[in-house]
Amino acid sequence: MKHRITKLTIGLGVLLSMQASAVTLTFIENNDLHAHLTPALDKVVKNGQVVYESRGGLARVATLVKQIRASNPNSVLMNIGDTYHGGVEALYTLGNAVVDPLNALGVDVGVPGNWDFTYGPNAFRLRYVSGLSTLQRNALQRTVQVTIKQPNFPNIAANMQSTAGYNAGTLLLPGTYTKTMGGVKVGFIGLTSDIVAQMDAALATGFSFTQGESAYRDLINNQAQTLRSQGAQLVMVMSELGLQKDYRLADVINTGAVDVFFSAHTHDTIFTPLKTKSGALVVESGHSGWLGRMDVDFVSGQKPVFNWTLLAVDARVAEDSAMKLLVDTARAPFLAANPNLTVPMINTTLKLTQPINTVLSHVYLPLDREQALESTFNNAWVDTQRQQSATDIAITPGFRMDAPIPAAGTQYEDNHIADGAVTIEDVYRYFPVAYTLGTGNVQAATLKSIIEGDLSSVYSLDSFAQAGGWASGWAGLNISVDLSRPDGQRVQSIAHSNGTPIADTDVLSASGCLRPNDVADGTGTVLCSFNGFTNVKSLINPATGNPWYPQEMFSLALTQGLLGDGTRISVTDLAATPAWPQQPYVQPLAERVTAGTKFSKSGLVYNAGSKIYTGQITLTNTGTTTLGAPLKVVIEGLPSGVTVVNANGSYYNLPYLKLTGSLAPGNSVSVQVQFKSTSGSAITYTPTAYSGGV
Amino acid sequence: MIRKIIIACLLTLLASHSIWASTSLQATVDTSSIAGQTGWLDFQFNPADFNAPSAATTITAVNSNGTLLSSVTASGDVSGNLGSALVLGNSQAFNDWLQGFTFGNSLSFLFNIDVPLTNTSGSGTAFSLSLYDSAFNSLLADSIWGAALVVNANDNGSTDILGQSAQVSLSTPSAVPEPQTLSLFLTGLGLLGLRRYRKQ
Repeated sequence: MKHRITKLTIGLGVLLSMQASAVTLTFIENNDLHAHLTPALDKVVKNGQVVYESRGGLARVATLVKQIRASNPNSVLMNIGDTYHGGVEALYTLGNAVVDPLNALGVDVGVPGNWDFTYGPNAFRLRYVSGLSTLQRNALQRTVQVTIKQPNFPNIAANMQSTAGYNAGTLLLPGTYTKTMGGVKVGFIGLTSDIVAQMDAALATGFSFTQGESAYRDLINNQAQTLRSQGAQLVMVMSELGLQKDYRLADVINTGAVDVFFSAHTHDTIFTPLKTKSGALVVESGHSGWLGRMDVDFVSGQKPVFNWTLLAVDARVAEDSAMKLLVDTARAPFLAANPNLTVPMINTTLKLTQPINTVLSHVYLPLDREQALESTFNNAWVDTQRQQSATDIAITPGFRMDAPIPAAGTQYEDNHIADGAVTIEDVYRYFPVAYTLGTGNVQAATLKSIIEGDLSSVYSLDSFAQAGGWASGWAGLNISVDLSRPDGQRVQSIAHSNGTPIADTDVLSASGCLRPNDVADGTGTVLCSFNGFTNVKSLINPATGNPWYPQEMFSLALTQGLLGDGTRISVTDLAATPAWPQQPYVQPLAERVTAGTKFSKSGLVYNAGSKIYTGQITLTNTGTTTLGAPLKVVIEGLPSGVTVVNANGSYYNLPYLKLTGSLAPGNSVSVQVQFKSTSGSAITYTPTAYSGGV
Repeated sequence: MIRKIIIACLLTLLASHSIWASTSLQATVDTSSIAGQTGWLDFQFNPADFNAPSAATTITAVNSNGTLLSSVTASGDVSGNLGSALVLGNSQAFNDWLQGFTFGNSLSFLFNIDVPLTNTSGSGTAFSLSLYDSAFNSLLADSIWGAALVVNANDNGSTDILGQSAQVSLSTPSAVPEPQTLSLFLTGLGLLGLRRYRKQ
C-alpha cells in the first residue's frame, strides 16, 4: 500500500510539473510600418477578388496589441523593418513624428529597415545607438538639423558592423536580445538590411554589412548556438533581409537552429508559414495593414507547436483613444493651415506650404505600386516626368511604398464610392524621399544592360542576387522580357514607345531621380542610381529656380490635369509569369512543395552515340489544391560528375526543369530529364517540386 | 462445391496479381529504310535507381531477314541470348545487350516484362531498343529518347510506352497464362481440393 502511494505521489508530481512547464507564448510582428500613422486604403485579396480596404493606423494597431496582451500576458511585440520613413510627417521631422506614438505601443524589440538609414548615417546613430556619450551625441547632433528622438526599446542588428566612431570594429547595435516569458527564455537575432550601400553609398558611411549566403548562414548558426548555450529554448530571427533571402537562409542553416524567421522588407503577406529544410518557419506580416500573431505552445522537453495568424488592421478594429491622441498630436503641424515647413536635410529646398489633406486632384484611373514589373503609379508618373523634361525616356525607382488610390467611382468596402481624390499626403506616400530630378544621356546598349540588371535584382532565382525594391518604371519604351530566363538574359527587345526600333548605338536622353549626393552639374554619370549615363545634370523647377522635386512635379501634373494613363502596358513578359494576386508574392518566390505530391521516375535509357541517359519524371498532384505556375522540378542529390544536360536553369546551383502550366488536384505532368556522367557512377537523384517564382 | 471453387479461383487470381504483373508485347520494326546497313541492336532494361522494384524482361522470338553478328557486349544483369531467349534483370544500374546486326527489311520480337505490384517507391525500370549505325549514330529513333522503343515498367505493375518511333509497331500477342500465374492458380485449386478431402 505504501509503495502504491509513493508511486501515485510521484506520478502526480510529474503531472503537475508537466502542467507547470506548459505555456503559450505570443509573438506579435509589426513590420514595415513605413511611418503610416493613420489608416489608408490598401489593395487586399478577399474571396479571390482584389478589393480596396481601409488598412493600418497605429490607433488600430494599439487596440489589437492590447487585446493580444490581455489574452496572453506572455507576449512580445517586435517592430521589424522600415519604421521612421515613408510619409510626409516622417520626412519633415527625420522620423521624429513616428517616435512618440510608436514608443507608446510598448514594443519589446526592433530591427531597423533599409529606409531607416535614409536620413543619413549620423541621424541613424543618433536614433538607434543608446550608448553614445554626451560628447558623441552632441558631435553627431551638430550635423543633423533636428534633434533626433530615440525609440524606447532596444534595436538589434547582428549583421551590421561599425567601421568608424562609436563601437568601431564591432557591432554598432546589439546582435541579439533575450526575453523570458512564462519561464521560457527566448533568444532573438536581429538582421537589418544589407542593401544600404546599394541605395546610396553615402548612407552606409561608417557601417559595413554582412554579405552573401554563406556568411549569413554561419552568422545565424553561431548566434543561435550562443543563445541556446545561454539557455534560450526558442530562437527567433527578426530580419529585414526580405522574404526571399530569409526563405533561403532557413533552408541552409543548421536543423533546429532557429524556430521562426519573422521577415520584413518585401511586404509579403504570409497566411501559412513557409516550411523549410532546417525546420524553421518563415512568416511576414505584409506591411502597415497587417499584424502578425504567432502563438507558440511550449511544453518543456516537447516540440513546440506554432500557430500563425495574420490579423487585418482594418475598420473593424476600434481606434485606441490614447494612441489616436498621440498620432493626432504628431500630425497636427502638417494639418495646420499654413505649415511652411522645409525638409530638414542639408541642401534640401523641398517645402510643405499647404496642409497635407489638401486635395490636389481627382483621378479616374487607379494609382498604385502593387505590381513588381509595371505599375499604374510608376507609369503615370514617368509619363509626366518625360513630358515635363522633354526627354526620350524617363525612369522611376521600383519603390514598394504606396497608398493605393482607386479611380473615382470605384466601389469599395461598405459601399463607399471612391472620389479619386489625391492629397498632398498621398503624394508623399509615393515619394517619401528628398530626391530631386535630373536628366542625362545613355546609349541604348547600356540602357539594355541597366534594364537587365534591374530585372535580375527583382527576379533572380538566387535571392542574394536580388536587391532593392521592385522593377523600375519606364516611359518612352516598349520592353519585351522573358522573366523565366536566367539572369542577364531576360530582356528580349527594347523599342521606342511608338514602336520605332532602337539600335544599340542610339543615344537616348533620359530623366530620372537624383540622390542627394549624385553629381548633377552636367558631368554626372549616375541617374536613378544607375551608372552608365553621361551629362547628368539637375532638372530645374521653373517655379522655384531650384532643383525640381518629384513631389513638386507630380503635384503640378495633378493640379493641371497632366497625369498620364498609368494603366498602359509597356513591359510585356513573354513567359506570362503569373503576378500578384495570381501568385501570393508581389516579388515572385519559388516555394518548395512539401506535401500533396508524388513523383514517379522512369528507368533510364542510355544512348551509346550521345552518351546521354534519358528518363522521365512525372509529378502527380495528390493534394487538394492546385499547384500554381510556374512549376519546376529541381534535381537534388546528383552524384559527383553527373550533370543534367537539358536543364532550363539552376536554382541555387541545382539544375531544374520547367513544367508547363499549373497542376490541378489529381492531375499529372511529365518532363524528360537527360544526364551525362563523367564519373561512371550510377545516376541517382531526388526530384523536388517548386511552385511559383519565375 | 462449385461456388467454393469459383471463389477460390478468384482469390487465387487476386493473390497472384497482387504479387506480379506481366506485360507481353510483340514489337515489329520496319527497317526497310536502313536495310543492308551494318550497325547495332541495343536492348536495355535500366532502373530509375535502386529503389525500383526487382523486375525482368524476356526477349524471345526474334525474327528478321537481317543478320545477327557475333560481336556482343553484355553489361549488368543479363543472361541468355537473342537466338533463344534474352533475359535482362534490373539488379544493376545499367543492364544492356549490344549486338552487331546487319539490318534487313524488318525486325520483330516478343518481349515480356514482369514487375511486382506492391512497390510504392515511385521508381520504374525502362525497357528500350535502340538501333545504331556502325558509328553509333541513332537510327529510326524517337526524337526525345534517342531510342526506337521505350517502355517503362512502373512500380505499380503497369507499363507505359514512353517512346516509339514511327517505324515501330506494337501488338498484343494472344493471351497465354504466365507461368507464375498458372502455378499459383493450380496451387490454389490444389489447396482447395486438399481442404475438401480433409473435411470428408
